[in-house]
Amino acid sequence: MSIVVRFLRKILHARISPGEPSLVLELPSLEIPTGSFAAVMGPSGCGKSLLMGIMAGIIPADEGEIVLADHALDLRQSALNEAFRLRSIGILLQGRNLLESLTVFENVALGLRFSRTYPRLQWRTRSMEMLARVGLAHLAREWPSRLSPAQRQKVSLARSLVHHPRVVLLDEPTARLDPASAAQMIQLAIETTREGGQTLVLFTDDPAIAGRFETRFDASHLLVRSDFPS
Amino acid sequence: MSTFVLLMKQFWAHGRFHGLLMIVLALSGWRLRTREGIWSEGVDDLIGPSALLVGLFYLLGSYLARAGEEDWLQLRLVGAKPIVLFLIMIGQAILVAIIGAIFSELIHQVMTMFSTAPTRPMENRFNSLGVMILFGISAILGSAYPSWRGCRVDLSERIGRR
Repeated sequence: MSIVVRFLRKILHARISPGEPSLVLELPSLEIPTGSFAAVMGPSGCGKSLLMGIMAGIIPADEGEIVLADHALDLRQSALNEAFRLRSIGILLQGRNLLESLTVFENVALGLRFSRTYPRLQWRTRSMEMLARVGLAHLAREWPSRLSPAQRQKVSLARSLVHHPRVVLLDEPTARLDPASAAQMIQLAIETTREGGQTLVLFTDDPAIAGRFETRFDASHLLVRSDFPS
Repeated sequence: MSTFVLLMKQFWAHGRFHGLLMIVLALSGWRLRTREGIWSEGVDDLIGPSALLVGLFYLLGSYLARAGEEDWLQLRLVGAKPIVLFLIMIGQAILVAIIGAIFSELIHQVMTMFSTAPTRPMENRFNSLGVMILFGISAILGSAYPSWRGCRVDLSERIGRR
């Protein structure tokens, strides 16, 4: 299995008085095989982004176990996951992902600048390779402000894949795209990760997008009111 | 891409704000250069301008920390250490100080060239090196705290908030 989540629990609002329940993110079990494509689907505000943050090893959790690409994340001290995250996880956040002060090429190369997985001499080749893969090599010298929303998302996707991660987590990558661009973006993400043998997990609130994935998880009931901790 | 290149790119991206501050610095530097007795009458004369400059650079540091918030998040996400962000922010303040000091010198030279008033003795004036040192120290003092605060991006808090 590429991703295994067991008995995950994160308290969001600890109760103030004894009678008041806490708001808790709970996920008893989630398993995603290596090299597969999975969609985590649920309405806006149901805790998908939070779950993605925890699965990426960025947001700490209170209980549970997460194993990503044979590596057990430290759920208490997220700083300890940084080296693994930079090496093995590709992340695309909801909203803005590009630095406006850098060109398209520089934005993609930024994914290699700090990850220390590629020798400096290969940055250019690898970044251009990824841009070509998403069909935007001709825009390498452009500024992000001159790109369409779909092109921006493709550049963001290229950056999240440039260091060849083993697991790719995409949070609402189609949120501001028209249906045709959204479908194209998903197809591109699936094809690119399939070629690389990577595991792709997409977090979305769009059932049509989730329907394109072979494995789907319902995240509607991630957040619950609970008496935890007693 | 080195930290210096990132610094220059960010510097260019916030060019308007930096430009405005450079004009203020150039004029205040020129004013200091034409003022008499600053060195000779002791440090008292320096307190006012220094406090003003430190305040200006504090504003610049706060602006950079705030306006670049999304960029700092992206940089932290791809693995940039807080010290890199700190250097980018404080580096911009120092660059503004240096360029402001150069402009103030240029204004001073031009004004001296066209001025018909009798030249005052040099030893009683704030020299160009003095302006640069004053600007540089003010830049570091003023922008250090907001830059340090801005560079400590809490990824978990910021991503949880999105």
